[in-house]
Amino acid sequence: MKFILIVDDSPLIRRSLRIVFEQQPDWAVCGEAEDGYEGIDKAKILQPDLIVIDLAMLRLNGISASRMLKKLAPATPVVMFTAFTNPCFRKAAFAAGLDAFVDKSEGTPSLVRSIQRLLSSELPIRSASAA
Amino acid sequence: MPTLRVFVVDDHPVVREMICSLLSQEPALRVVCRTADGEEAVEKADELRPDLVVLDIGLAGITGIEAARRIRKVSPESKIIFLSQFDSLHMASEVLKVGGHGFVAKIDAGSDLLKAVRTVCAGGRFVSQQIVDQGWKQEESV
Repeated sequence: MKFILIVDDSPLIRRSLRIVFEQQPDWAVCGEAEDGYEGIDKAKILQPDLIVIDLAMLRLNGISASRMLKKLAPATPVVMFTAFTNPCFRKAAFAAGLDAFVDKSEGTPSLVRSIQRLLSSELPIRSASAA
Repeated sequence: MPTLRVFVVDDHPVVREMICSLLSQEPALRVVCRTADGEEAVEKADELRPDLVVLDIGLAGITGIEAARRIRKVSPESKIIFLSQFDSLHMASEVLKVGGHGFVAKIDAGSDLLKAVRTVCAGGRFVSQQIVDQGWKQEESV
């Protein structure tokens, strides 16, 4: 079983992702967080196999949080799932150490494929797109 | 048991996929159209005559309420379950008057959507518990 932590400020997005992820036979959502600080706290406690993180959140945004998460657990894949897909954000995300960057407007199939690829790899794969 | 053909109409791709994931748990349901656009839903309803339409109220373009009115004209046998970001008694009452058969708050879709589908497809009406708790009465939907 692979455990995923969801970090997003929208309760509806968190709930929706949980439903979609738990359709996968070997995935479980181990926790949710509504901002970057809570995401870091939960990652320390829960030690997820993978983290899905939003970009625009109050208190601590996803890029700053991801930088800290990758220092905390470098081998844990972090996937950004955001509506902000400007190339500047994408570049900043990968500079922070993110493993994949997925456009929310593509819905969840792209996100699920990225997660499947990352969870099946022995080493994290740095990817510029979700496809 | 015959397969029921379902439309999913929501302009948020993540929510749309969530709804489809939930519906996929019921073997008797087959999603035959998924769209963000109310006008497309109306055109497809005229063509495909779905058994059930799961319809977001807050669509861009024509609203879910307007889409429901038009769907009721072109496909009068289709049952409609409204989805909303808001668990408002007033909104539930208004949309059910337009010809909806159910009202589910999106945040409660995980627990309520399949119950709503089963109830509505059996001929009943369904609203989320949060609406019932606000004092929703069956006759308000007439």
